[in-house]
Amino acid sequence: MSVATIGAAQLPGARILRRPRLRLMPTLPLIVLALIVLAAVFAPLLTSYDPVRNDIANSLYPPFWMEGGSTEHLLGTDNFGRDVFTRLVYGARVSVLLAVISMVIAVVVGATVGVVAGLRGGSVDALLMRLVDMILAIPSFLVALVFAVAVGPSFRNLVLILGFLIWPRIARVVRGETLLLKGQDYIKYARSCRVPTWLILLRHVLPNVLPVLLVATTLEVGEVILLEAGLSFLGAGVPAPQASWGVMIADGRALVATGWWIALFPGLAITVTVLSTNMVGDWIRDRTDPKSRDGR
Amino acid sequence: MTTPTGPVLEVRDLSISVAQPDGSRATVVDKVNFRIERGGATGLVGESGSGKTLTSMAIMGLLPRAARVESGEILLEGEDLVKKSSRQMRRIRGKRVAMILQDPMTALDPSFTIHSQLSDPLRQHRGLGGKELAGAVVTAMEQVHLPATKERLRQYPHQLSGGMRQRAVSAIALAGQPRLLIADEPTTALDVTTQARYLQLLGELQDSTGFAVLLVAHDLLVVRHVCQQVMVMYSGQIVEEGPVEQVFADPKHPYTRALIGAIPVLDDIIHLESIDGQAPDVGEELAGCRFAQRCKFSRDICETAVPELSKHDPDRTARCWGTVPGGWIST
Amino acid sequence: MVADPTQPAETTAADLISLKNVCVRYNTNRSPFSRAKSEILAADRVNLSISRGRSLGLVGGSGSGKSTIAKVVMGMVKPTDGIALVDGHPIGQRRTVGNAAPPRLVQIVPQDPYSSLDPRMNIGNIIAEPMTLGRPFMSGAEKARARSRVAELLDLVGLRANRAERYPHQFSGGQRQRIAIARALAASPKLIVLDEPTSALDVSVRAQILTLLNRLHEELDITYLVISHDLVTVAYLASDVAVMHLGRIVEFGPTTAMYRTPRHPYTAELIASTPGGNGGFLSQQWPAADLRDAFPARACRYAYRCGLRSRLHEPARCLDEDPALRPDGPNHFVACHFSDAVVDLTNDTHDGPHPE
Repeated sequence: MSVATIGAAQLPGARILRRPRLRLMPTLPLIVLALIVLAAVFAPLLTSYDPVRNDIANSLYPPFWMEGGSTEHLLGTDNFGRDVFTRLVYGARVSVLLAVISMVIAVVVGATVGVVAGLRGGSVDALLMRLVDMILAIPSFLVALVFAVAVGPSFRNLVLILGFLIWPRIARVVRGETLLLKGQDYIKYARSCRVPTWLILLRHVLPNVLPVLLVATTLEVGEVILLEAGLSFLGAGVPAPQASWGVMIADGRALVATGWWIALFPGLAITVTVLSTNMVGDWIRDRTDPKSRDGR
Repeated sequence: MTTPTGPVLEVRDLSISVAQPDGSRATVVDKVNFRIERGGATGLVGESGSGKTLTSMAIMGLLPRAARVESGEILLEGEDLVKKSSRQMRRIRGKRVAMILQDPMTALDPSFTIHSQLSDPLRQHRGLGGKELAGAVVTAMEQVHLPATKERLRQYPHQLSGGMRQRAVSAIALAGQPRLLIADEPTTALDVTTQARYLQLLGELQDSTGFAVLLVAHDLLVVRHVCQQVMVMYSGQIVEEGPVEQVFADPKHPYTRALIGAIPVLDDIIHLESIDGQAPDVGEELAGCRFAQRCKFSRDICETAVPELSKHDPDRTARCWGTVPGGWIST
Repeated sequence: MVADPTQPAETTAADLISLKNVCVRYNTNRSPFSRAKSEILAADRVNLSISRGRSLGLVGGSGSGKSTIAKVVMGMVKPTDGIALVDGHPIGQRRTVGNAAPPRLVQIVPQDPYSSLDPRMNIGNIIAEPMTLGRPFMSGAEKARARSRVAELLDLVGLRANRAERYPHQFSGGQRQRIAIARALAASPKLIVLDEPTSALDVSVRAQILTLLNRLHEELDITYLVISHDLVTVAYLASDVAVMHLGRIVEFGPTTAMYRTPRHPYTAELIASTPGGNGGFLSQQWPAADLRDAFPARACRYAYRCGLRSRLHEPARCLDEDPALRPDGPNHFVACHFSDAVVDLTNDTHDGPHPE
């Protein structure tokens, strides 16, 4: 086994899911993410409260471990009497759904553009990449804000604008990988056998681009969640009274002194989620990057 | 502590292990012993997977993280490199032992000119500066037959041909005036005429500067061209050692014999022996000789007992039951 | 019979490959705005033909044009001038994928066994690719046929058929080369281009591959075009060889005759450089492109690195006239003014590191 092949046992895709021993990474962040997804999916089972109905009589209860709190409202209630824990798990729903749908849009559009630009090269590549550059140059937050204000905040619009802002980042990464692949002999060979370009794309390029795509996707998910939080914070995201972590932070902003728990828990939730997706993304990249062969 | 006499490199019972995907460690270099005299040229021949590259990496202190030295000593002019810290190794690398690799493109930084890549080691290892430095750069270039013109010095690696790059890499490696140069398959990426010229250059440099060479290769003929001594490595063990011409004329190990037989020579094209089968898997534990499964001459004892290196003549050794004096293989 | 490469020949029915006056120019301008026209003439008026059953070797160093010719034969590169015919059909005429040579005619075994196999496909699919052309949906009968053909091919190249489900990284370099060979055979091509078939392999494995290739040549009656910088590989596989330098054929003839008595100094240089060769016949200088500029445009293009020239005390003719390829013996052609003197020089021996 030459020096170069020592790490080749870690070829992308082949071994990622077959580790027999349990390790801190990526199990810890994966568990966290799994919990969040489960919480989102099973929200109604986890709590009997309604996330949007006001109940002023019960407003501003602190979390249960504090004086004045009760186990009926584990994390307290906000100024409208809404249970914070309930809004937190329903907010998870929003974040998870948002992340999934907008990433699907971003990946479909971005990967296609990236692969086409990479394979075709020439003027097609130049044109597509200038488009990518233009979108990337726009301050995303501002655009999202303006868009939301112009069209009206709604979940659907949010998904669209986020997908629109993220796809160029995916496209760039995919294009880079495609360019690398283009030089590989097996692609040249397929061409020499007159395999049509679209089939080369499907059978040779896509599977080999997948690991990089996966990494980019996981790393962008964190970005999407943060963007949504920011937008919702400004009222341009998910429309109130729907629960979303960003909205909760907005609600809790004014009450930091008297009801600090209202903004803290969603803030923590965002931090933990984004941290976890980033960790998973980094781990995948370290495992699949042939350049980090000599590390284990 | 340097010993003015004595071998420049002495490797004693070196064993290297590599981490396996399932967590265990496999021995890929198994108690290797050899020495290189001052100014000598020794070849280390083996196929990929024989452990030759890991051995040379161990000497440089550049083993990948998955590999580590399990036991043994690597004595560079008497000092054990295995015991050195990475900081100490950094001082030794380039100044006392240097390495040339197969692919000159990865040895050269594509973002820096030849001039700057050559000046760095001269400045660092020999403390030169100003005019002295400029002069040394020119000398270094001329030594490897690279034109030391302003244009050339300002060029970047991608503007040079393969042969030029390998020469530049050699100049950089020799800039620190090392006592030992390890060349790991330095000509594999070069075409045949460039290869011949480069090997000739290596010989010239050795004659004029007096450094010792460890030439790691899979091609016996390349080694024959440059070295006086040769060691043949198979599946982590040295199976034969001796002066090059003697080993060629009268190989004492069936693997060496098979390697020589597998070399197609222009005059004798029809006759080409190939070695059937494959080397044992990494980490595969065998009770006997590691070459036995592929050996034409193997007998029962070969599969049940590991042959030790036995002496043949004053300066030859071989690891084979069959060629031991009194053995069944007539040599 | 291989036709006379000094002029474009009439294509006979027996010719599988026919290249007439093929020139390939590459534009090396990096930016569309640069006014300077810099071109590389990768192939310069190359005339070649290969008849069925004969194998041709193309030998030369980097920049000799041999890889370019291989690409022309594959239909991957369009000749800037001249015509390339494969089995009578012109190829490489347009820059589209569909104009590569049809897989049933010409196949290639690429140089690097590590990047020529898709790491994400199992070797069964890799080998079947030239037959299936990557079609995603095949009927059960088609799949079965492909599978049995793959098993047949694996057997032919000496690999166990039950390994068809495995992935390339599970095989060694030599085995990967066998897989590439099996793949090349899949569509039953008439011609296989072997691009440096053994350069990436250990010496111990080379013999295996060369033996395999020879056996296949005999059993299946396939024609080879062998590209290599290694004379020995070519000698082992090809009956005729063309030596190329800077885009031109400088010597051409039957393999054994040429190696015994080379008629061009470059051929002699290649023979001498081969490990095990006598090494004596090398000009002392490293041939650099700058040296070439010092010579007049009408001079012989090999003159700047010609060892023969210096030994003959630099005859004026080398600078005055670029020698054309002309007949020199039975089916032997060479482009040198002093080809007779070449033979004498190969008798020089070289003092290696162990002078006796």
